[in-house]
Amino acid sequence: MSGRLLGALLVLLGGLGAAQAVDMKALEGGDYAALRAQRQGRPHAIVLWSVSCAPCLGEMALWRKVLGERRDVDLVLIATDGPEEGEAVRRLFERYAPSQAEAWQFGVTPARRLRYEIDPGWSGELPRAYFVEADGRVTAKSGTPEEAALRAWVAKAGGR
Amino acid sequence: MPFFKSFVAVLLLVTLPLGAAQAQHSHKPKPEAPKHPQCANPNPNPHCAKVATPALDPQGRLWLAWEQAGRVYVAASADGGASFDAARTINPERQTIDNNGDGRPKMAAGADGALYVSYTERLAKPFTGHIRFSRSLDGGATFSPPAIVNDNREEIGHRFDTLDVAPDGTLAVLWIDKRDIAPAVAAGRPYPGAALYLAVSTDRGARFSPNRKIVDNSCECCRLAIAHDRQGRRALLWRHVFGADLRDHALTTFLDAETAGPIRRVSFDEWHTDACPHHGPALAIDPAGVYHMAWFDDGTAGQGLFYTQSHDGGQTIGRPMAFGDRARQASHPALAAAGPALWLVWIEFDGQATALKAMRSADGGQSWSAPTTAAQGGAEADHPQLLVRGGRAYASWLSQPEGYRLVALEGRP
Repeated sequence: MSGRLLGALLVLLGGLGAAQAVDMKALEGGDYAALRAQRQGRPHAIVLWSVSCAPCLGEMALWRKVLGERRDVDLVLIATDGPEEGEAVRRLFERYAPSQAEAWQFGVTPARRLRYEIDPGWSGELPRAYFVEADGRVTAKSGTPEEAALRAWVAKAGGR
Repeated sequence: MPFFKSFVAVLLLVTLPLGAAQAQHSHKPKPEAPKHPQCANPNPNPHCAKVATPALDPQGRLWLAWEQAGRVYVAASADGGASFDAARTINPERQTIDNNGDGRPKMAAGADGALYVSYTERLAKPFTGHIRFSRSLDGGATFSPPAIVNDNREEIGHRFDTLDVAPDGTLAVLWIDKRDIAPAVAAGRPYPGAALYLAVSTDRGARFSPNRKIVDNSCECCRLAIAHDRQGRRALLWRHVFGADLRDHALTTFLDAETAGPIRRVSFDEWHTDACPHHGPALAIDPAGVYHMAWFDDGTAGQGLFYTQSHDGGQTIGRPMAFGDRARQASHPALAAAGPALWLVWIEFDGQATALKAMRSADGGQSWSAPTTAAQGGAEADHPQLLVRGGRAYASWLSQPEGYRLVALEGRP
């Protein structure tokens, strides 16, 4: 009866929602090392951002502009906000970030521990980016990179 | 009934893909980080806060202000933080409230017993907020409904509020304000950072003066540090944006309650960044009138925590001394002059636990004891605050699962 119809409608609605929703993973202890290990030998960029950091949105928008439709650049975006900011993280990601980026946000593991696992030498300032070469060399950058620098990185790191 | 079931199904299906993706992607069990045992009870409790700001009232009671589930609460302890009385609610309606290390609810007490609370209510747009203020004139039995202090009511940033009660009882609220950015940009002028504004009350917070700008181009996201000199004048230390993106520290001593004096740069670490450091400085003025300053920078000329002093209100600055273990993320210093002693506290993290570190100077900051660990806590830990009562210094600190602690520093080396 109408219940079944309604149910079908709902599945459809839910499906539409899911198609648009970002695949946001929760970063817990050990996940960062795992995502780095998974990319060993391949260039990738990791960008940390937060809903409480205005320049971060500019950096995400810059990545979106520089990447355009390219899907051959391995970009990981990690929001340093915990689950209580889940909705804001999702909203801002969808509005500013390149949709091809792999999306993470801090989970229930204490943020200080996650930050330490990412880089003990990082003081928590945002935006923060790590550009990792194929040979494992890492360049850390605090603040928004220049557009030219991002374009140079994309030209070099593309083709995954 | 079927309708009700369908309705629930609607809610589930529509909200699940949008709201629960995080849970869906759990690839391993994720136990919540352990909290203080009293947090099993949902009632407001300072031990369950993320950050808590202390204040001492003239009766010697320790007050804390904190946020929990969209409300600012305050509670008092008559036994040095061992137990707290029932929490008072400052905002009857739930709000989204800045609740982090550098942007947190504030509390202050006047010498006449008036109690003041301020906080930043976040608005819908990112990085926006209103500065809210509430007071109690009956010893904390009741608090006034939280009024908005910023007279610019645009949906822009008015955040990082700080309360200041001068020795003569003059109350001021200071904050970081973004009202000058859009007009500047519209006129084709770049506007790095934000502005500092204040509002002053000489009637214990019944009315405030019109908002007044202190300075253009402050950093947008670092706490402000305030102390009073021997004449009772307000001194203010903050992270400034010099030029386009150089985030070092600036100091001023006010000429009167509303008017800033000369502004002097006091740190020279050359931190060029448009990042949000979320690392505000610390300031104390000792009975001899010497200014003591501590801060964090990550510049090309200086990285980590630094301490320095000035004997002439910031005109000349001593050579900065680095302190804290950089390999353990030493950060978030607090400074206090307690009788003849000067105390410096900060936190360090080793990947698992947070240590509250302390060191003492008996000669006005010329030399310091070796750092000691005043307390140990979990990975979730607040920035330490310092209180002075009866010439003794106490560190006010919150960590999980340990909860709130008032740590007596005297008796340490």
